[in-house]
Amino acid sequence: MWDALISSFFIISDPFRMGMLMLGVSIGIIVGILPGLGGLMGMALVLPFLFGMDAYAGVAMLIGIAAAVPSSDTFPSVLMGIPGSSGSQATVMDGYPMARKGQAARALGAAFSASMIGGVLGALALTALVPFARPVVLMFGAPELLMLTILGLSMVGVLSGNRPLLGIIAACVGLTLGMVGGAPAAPEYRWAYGNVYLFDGFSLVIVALGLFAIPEIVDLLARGGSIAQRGAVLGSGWLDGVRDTLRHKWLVVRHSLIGVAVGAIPGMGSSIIDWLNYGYVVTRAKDKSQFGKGDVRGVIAPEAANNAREGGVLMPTLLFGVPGSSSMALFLGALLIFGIQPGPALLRDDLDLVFVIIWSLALANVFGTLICLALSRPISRLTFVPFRYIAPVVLCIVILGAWQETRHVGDLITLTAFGLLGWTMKRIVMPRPPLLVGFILSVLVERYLWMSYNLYDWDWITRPLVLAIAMLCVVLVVGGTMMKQRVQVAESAKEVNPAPVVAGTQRAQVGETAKEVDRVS
Amino acid sequence: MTIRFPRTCAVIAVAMAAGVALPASADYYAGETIRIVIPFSAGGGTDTFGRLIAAHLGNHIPGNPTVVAENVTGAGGLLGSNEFARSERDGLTLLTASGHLNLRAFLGLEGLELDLNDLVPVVAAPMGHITAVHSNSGISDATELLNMQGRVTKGITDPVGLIESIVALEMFGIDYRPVPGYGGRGDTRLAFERGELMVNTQSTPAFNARVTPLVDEGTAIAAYAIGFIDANGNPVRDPGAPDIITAPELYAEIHGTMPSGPAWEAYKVTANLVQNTRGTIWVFQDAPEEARAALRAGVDAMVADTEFQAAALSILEGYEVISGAGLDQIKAELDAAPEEILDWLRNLMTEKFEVSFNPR
Repeated sequence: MWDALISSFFIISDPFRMGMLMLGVSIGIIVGILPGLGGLMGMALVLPFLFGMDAYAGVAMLIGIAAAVPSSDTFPSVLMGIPGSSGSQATVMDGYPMARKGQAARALGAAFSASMIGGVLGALALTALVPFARPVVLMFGAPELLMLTILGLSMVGVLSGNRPLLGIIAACVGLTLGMVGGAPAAPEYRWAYGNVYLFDGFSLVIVALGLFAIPEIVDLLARGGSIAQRGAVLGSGWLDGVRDTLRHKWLVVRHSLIGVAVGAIPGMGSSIIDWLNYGYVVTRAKDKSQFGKGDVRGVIAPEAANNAREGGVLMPTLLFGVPGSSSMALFLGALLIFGIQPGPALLRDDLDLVFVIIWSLALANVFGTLICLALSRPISRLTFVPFRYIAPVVLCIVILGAWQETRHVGDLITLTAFGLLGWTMKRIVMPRPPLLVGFILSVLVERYLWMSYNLYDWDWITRPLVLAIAMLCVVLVVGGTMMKQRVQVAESAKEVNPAPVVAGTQRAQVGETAKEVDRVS
Repeated sequence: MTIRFPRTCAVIAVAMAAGVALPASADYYAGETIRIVIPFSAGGGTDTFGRLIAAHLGNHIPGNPTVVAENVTGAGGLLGSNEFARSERDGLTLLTASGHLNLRAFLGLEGLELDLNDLVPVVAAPMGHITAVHSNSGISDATELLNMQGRVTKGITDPVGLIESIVALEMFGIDYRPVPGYGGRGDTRLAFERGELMVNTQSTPAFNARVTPLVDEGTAIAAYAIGFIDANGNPVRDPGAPDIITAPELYAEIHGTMPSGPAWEAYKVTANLVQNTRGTIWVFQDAPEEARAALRAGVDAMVADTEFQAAALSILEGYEVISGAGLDQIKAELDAAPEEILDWLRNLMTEKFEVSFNPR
């Protein structure tokens, strides 16, 4: 194994392969920055050029794309409140409020340094766990996956802030909207009314763009000025963010490991990982008062996890030939072009290739985040430019991002409809993340419930791992609620004691930000 | 998601080709751009086959047209195939279809506008399938197939997409429990490995790479290959797994006689249609005669080209491209499929899986 580890490093350090890796990283950074485009798009772009290419170079390029996207997609999430790809939806929650306070560079610094550590930890975990991952992956049958989706749904409370009822309603709306299109367990099209466009249901990319991007663009234009609020300063920049990450190093490690673990379980869909991690960091935090208003931990946790995730999703991809995410499905197809059949035999017969993948993952994470860090200061100045100059470009990119999903006019109608829905929700201060979580998990809950029942009748409820995850759900929901109450009590106690004059002005500022943030979340 | 090759590149290439040498006027395709619609997303088996052909075919068609592959995805291939069905019948638009999309079109799935009777194959690639049984079912040999214990679970993705394996189970008369909801054959294989599913059918290359290790460690039994059917209706071993007995042969071994009845007739239709046309490039039958002739000549030349053969080696995964007379046989088998057998298949899909059809 050590031989392969070293020999594969020499394979990858060949200048052409390194060049391809860097090309992949560059493509990944670009598609990550553009809202609506993600790793899947980047990989699909280069796919035609893989025919006849050296297998190691091709693999390095694809992994470069996959690894760079979850770093660079942070830019639009933080700077504009628009998820750069489905992996950084949760980063919007605290990253964007930080940008509005003028701490964009700090948020990006924290995000990228957490991404780098997460990505390298993901690669390390892949190295260490690949030989042992099989029994773990096999442990998660349909009933266990069902419980994991329920665990995801139990995060809704945390994601609703101080409006649990509206949050639950939003989640139900999301669950309902997720049912549009082909039913997961029957050849039946729901609410499609014979319209072929609706057969696949709504695309997550378009739903996320509609819910977050359109309302933000509209409101920023209506308000005038720049994204960062008047009086805010850029701050001493990304070094502060890096220091934040180092200060919360255990948080980074914890969420990287969660990212790897959830990524390694095929069938969960990697787009839920950042929400799971965001929900978890909020639940576990002692002081929750700043979440949603610009708490740097809310940036670090999902960013560490979404880079580490790639190490996780590669496990089932390489071990079983079962894609851990949609871009991994494309990666599998690319391996076919090189005549490689992933599976247990790959680890036995072609360990060099496995380690080339791992090296590519680690190197691409380091290069990708370094490039992003270098870009973060100039790019974060965008938040100080009057938004009316940026808006046309952003709007075009958002529309193109939606349009490339199927290139059907339905893409634009869906974007508009969800834009209206998102804007309305923002106006009535209804939290939007629960809607997205409900939307993502809707199909999964139904699918795994039917599969569990068909496989085991109701006996599945008593499986040990099912019970364990159920306990975890209860602990998270009850624990989260109780902690929140305690914080609220503490806060109201603070309100009673009149604060000194200086602190009072500060609080007025915070209060104003909080109001703004409420509109965001 | 959709990826289109940059149009501008195609235009530039065409312009360059036109500038360098003025092609003979008899060449139907000279200076033209052929568009191959791939109704599936990039990276899948059908896409890879379509792109392989797109990369080579243009060099061999008289007049050297530019060939552009274009993924038009959505609704399980419906959006792309409908776009093709509505395209001009000038031979400039082709379709890459999978065997199961062909079968859907053949049975007339609701919402699909494609009619195989209007099409002729340009080139095709076969792919076999093999069924494995989990050892939890209590059997240790394929001949004990009918004595499986407990709930015989069979993972269902899209029922029409698994039709050859379902018809085989029907032919044996196995009482199985369909478990719908799986995302793809890879997911069902994982569930099979986990012991949730008792019977599982995989493409032969996937079986060889990922199920054979389970057979070796004793978790699974290689039950039967779907195999192919020759012109006389006799089973032919799968060239990708010649050692594995075919389902009709296994039936004969268990019962002493070859299978008969509608299930067997349906088996013969589905095994060949689905497996011989795993990847198929179609053109409209009423495209101009010279277009179809040029395409055919192009495919014949392409298949003989060693460069193409080398590139095709890994993508075809041990099978050979079907061209020439083999294509005529595919078309003949489509024409010969008895309508009552197609009705039997539609009934099976409707009654067991609630799939609706809208046959023409």
